[in-house]
Amino acid sequence: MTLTTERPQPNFALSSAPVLSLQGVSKTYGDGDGTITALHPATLVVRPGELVAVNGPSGSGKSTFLSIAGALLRPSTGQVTIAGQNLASLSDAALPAFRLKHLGFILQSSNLIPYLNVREQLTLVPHLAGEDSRDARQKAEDLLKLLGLTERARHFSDALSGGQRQRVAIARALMNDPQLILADEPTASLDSVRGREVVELIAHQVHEHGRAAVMVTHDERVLDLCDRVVSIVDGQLRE
Amino acid sequence: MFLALRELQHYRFRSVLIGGIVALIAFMVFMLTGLTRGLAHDNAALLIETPASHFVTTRDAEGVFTRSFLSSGDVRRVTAAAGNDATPLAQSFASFSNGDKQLSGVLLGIDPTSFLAPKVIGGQALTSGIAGAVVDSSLQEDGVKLGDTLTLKPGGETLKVLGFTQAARLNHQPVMFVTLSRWQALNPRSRGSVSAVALKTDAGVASKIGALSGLSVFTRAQALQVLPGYKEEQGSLTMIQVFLVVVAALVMAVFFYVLTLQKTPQFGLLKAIGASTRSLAGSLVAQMLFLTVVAVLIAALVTLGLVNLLPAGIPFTLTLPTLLAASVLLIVVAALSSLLSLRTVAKVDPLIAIGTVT
Repeated sequence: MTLTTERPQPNFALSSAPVLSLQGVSKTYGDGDGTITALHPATLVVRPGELVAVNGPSGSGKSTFLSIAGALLRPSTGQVTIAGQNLASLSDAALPAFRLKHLGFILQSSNLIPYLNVREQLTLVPHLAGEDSRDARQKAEDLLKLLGLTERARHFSDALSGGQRQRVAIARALMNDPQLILADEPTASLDSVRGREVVELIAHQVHEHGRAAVMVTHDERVLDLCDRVVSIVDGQLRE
Repeated sequence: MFLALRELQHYRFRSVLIGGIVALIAFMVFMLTGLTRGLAHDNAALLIETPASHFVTTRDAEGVFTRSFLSSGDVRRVTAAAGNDATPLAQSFASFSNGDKQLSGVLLGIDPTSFLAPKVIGGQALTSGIAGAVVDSSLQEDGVKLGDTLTLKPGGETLKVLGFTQAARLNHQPVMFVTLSRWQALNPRSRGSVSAVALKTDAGVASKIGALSGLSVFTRAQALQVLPGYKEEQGSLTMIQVFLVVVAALVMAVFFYVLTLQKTPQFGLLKAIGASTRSLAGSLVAQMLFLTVVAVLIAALVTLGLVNLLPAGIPFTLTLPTLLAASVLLIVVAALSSLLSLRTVAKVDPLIAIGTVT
């Protein structure tokens, strides 16, 4: 299943406010002589309609970077602003609700809940937000259709292939209509064809619906689908 | 709640295993409770069910009827203070035969017009001037019937069985109620003394009587505790019950703790996508409560069913209120034992969902 990217794309990037803004964000552990710098001060701005790839070798600080961008980790210095909200003014207890409302995660592994079928993986998200179940079901059906998963709607994750699982993860990440999508090595454990499909899906969502996406990857084969590529090497971010 | 039940449904074997163990432990707790209560009733149903609130004995008898000998003077002093709320009773042990069957019991002399008079379930009640006895229904299992003549040993005096009553057991033996005058005729060695005076009054009058010289007053519960053997029997059985409940708590705590540990990647994922710790904790508690309630219910039903199959000789008493109380205790203990797992859930860092596998 491939999507063409030849249609004229609405260009959101030019005049819109950034969805994600990291200003001088760094992360250090320990103190004094034992200080470890996982991420040196980094600045990155991602606008609606942009798919930014974060490239780099293992252990370079990509995960730390993604965690900070995904409101999962507080930076040691710097400011994180997502959808106009400065995260510093949110308490730790308020972060989960914020993530539920604004962010979508596509993770590397353990993406799916083992005891829920595909449809329930999706309706889980509005369920957690306490939203109406009828709208939720409709939205889930639409997304399942969009991602070609309708026939698998009642299957459990152990009956799905790797590519199908990632597609379910993408559908799930889209259920709350997020402004920012964070993807952690989404093509790991997928072959080139399936891997490319997955990134094409993400790119399509980003471009068609004005979302922003930050994708950590060291898969060079899909970098051409991204609008920008930044690298992190030894904790240093380079554009 | 939805997440909780879906998970139990998906891992059916595991859920049934844990539920089964909880049900087994609950069953053991119920059976032991029934046996403990049954033993208590077999020993002292009379003191458990009596309408009396207090008992007066001599000071040196310390509440044990068989060691206490109150003179008529003593009885008069008590009735002077308590009026109609006081009535004397006299206890002795008796060996007797019914036909060629040798049996034993407790002879209890009472005033048939007082509140100690037994309620009959068959036959006629005890009245003044009558020489027969109203006996505990447990003697029926030994073949005693209405109208039978019991022959006391070694003297050969006879007692006609006038009626049967329930819950009249003392010192693990059936009680045979006779009038005080009949009792004194059968026990000439007592020389007109009685064992105790039963009171049906409040603490104020009771303490007044307790102040009388040479006498002490015991509440019904206290008298029960000093009954020879009662405390020791109940103590051992109760200790076993307590241990059982503690074991249940530990088993459930460990099970849920280990299962929760196994699920930390899942919790990390759920927290990352925005589930609050409260909803995850709620789901865990819901699961645990659901399993426990179902398990306890099944155990209660099995217990009630099994009770009908118990051999007749085994003392077993399990009332519905007691069963309910034990069930609630187990469920509360289960809830507390899940606290350990809740701590684990709270400590899970959503960061673990961002994993560097490659």
